[in-house]
Amino acid sequence: MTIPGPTVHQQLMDAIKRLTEQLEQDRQGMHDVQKEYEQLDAERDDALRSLAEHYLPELTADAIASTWREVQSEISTLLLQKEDEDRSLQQELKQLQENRTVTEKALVEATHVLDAAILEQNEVSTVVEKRLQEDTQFVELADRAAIAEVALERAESNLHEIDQDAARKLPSYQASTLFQYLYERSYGTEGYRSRGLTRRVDRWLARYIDFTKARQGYDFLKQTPDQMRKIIAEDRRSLNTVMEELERKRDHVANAMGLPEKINLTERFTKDRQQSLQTANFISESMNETESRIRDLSDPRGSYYQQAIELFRQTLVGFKSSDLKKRAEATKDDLTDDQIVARLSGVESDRGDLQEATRDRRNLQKQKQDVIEELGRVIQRFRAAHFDSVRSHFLDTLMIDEEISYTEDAGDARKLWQKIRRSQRWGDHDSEEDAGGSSLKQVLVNAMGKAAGDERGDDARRAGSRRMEYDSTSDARSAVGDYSADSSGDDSR
Amino acid sequence: MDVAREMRDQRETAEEMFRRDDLRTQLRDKLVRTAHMSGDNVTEEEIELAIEQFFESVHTYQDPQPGMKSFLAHCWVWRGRLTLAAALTTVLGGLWFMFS
Repeated sequence: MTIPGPTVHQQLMDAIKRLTEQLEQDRQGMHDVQKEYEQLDAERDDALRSLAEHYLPELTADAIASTWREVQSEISTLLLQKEDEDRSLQQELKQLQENRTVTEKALVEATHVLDAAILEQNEVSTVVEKRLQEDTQFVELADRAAIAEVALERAESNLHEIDQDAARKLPSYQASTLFQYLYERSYGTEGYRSRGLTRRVDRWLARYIDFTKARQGYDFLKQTPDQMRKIIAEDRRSLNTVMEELERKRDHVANAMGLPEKINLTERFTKDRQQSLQTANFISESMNETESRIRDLSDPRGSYYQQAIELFRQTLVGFKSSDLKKRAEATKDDLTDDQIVARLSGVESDRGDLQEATRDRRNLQKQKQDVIEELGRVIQRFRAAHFDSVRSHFLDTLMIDEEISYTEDAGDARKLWQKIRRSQRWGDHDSEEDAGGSSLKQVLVNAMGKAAGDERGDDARRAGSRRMEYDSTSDARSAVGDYSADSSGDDSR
Repeated sequence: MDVAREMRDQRETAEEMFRRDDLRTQLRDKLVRTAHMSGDNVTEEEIELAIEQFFESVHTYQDPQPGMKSFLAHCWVWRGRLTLAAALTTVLGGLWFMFS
């Protein structure tokens, strides 16, 4: 029982595909490793921060005096900066409070002045209105304007309705071929010039579609809205004239009573008050910001403290775990720092393990890559030797999947090729003759096989095939690479 | 003179249209009166619907129903195009007959 060449070829192809997929999966898994690194770095930073916070619980002169000597000078500078800023903010706040008092006073004053001006303006306005009401001509003009306005509103509403009517009904006229034919020929008007039969048939057509009535409807829908618009525009102009006359009369009375001056004064006072209000709001916001900053400074764990901790943490990064451990052990009464350092050591140990595991994984990937490349060369040689042909058979002792599972490095993959070669057998006489490309040599192989008998027949055939393959593959050697050439050389020897 | 009369007519029509809401009211009163006289029991909604339908149907146009007359009317309107098509067919047919 033998295995056909194409089956072995397919098994090799499947194996290389499977190995490539495994390698790809493994490479994707390296992203997770990167995340693990980031997590461990974050944990390390966190532990260092905790240690810094432990050695410097707050930003005060006493706490600085009892912390590490290495960071004392820099943190003292930070404390001085904080105190400077605090002093400066206190002064700023005092100034802002004074400004606020002044602005609020100005605002109250501006409000009083504005109220008085508005009151005065209203009084004058009332007098002007009364005078105008007593003027009969003004009253008459006002009535006319009111009536005209009502009529205009009504006209505009009706125009809107007619417009909608036209938009809805005109398309049926415009889409009608029969109506448009007569309309374009100006039928029923003085412009119509046809005579004789054409005139008679057009008359029949006009009666057939009731053109006279249709034309009236069409003209109405086309012309009425424009006409209405013109009338409305004329009426609007007339109303404007009446309004101008009314305004002229109002201005006359208002000027006589000094109302424009009062209005100007009110506007000016309104603007002044608005400005005072904006200034007061701005000062109030500035005060809130300053107070918030002062609150932050007075907090012993505020923003300056965070800066100090960051500074301390950066200093701690430069120390080895063993040094930190010694320092922690030196504080015999205090166990917290020992715990934090132990946590830090644990994280660093984990990081070291991870680094080692990553290195091993990379080596394994490299080995796998080498095996895949070597397997690729084996397949190239397999094809070059025509082992993938249906005439090629392999002993059933050759189990590709099993061999691949034992293949750990490129050397194992090279040995696989030797096993494949040893298991390979050619088919019957006729086909071998066709395949060999050299009938005399094939005859030699077959004759050797038969002459050697059953026991050594296979060995004799293999010897003949080796000779034949050396001749037939010599041309293809350059295509399969150096390895192939080397192997062929070995085989021929 | 005709132009002046035409313009006057148009203006009158337009001004009539400004009283379209009045026309609607008059129509409603008339319908209510007629319904009372004939003893019909009609609702406000029915009267409004009738008025709406009236305004919808005014100044509308619809081509006659399709039939022989309509076909002949369209043939008349398209007589130029039909004559041209017939002439082209005759010329092409003649050419085909002569050279085939």
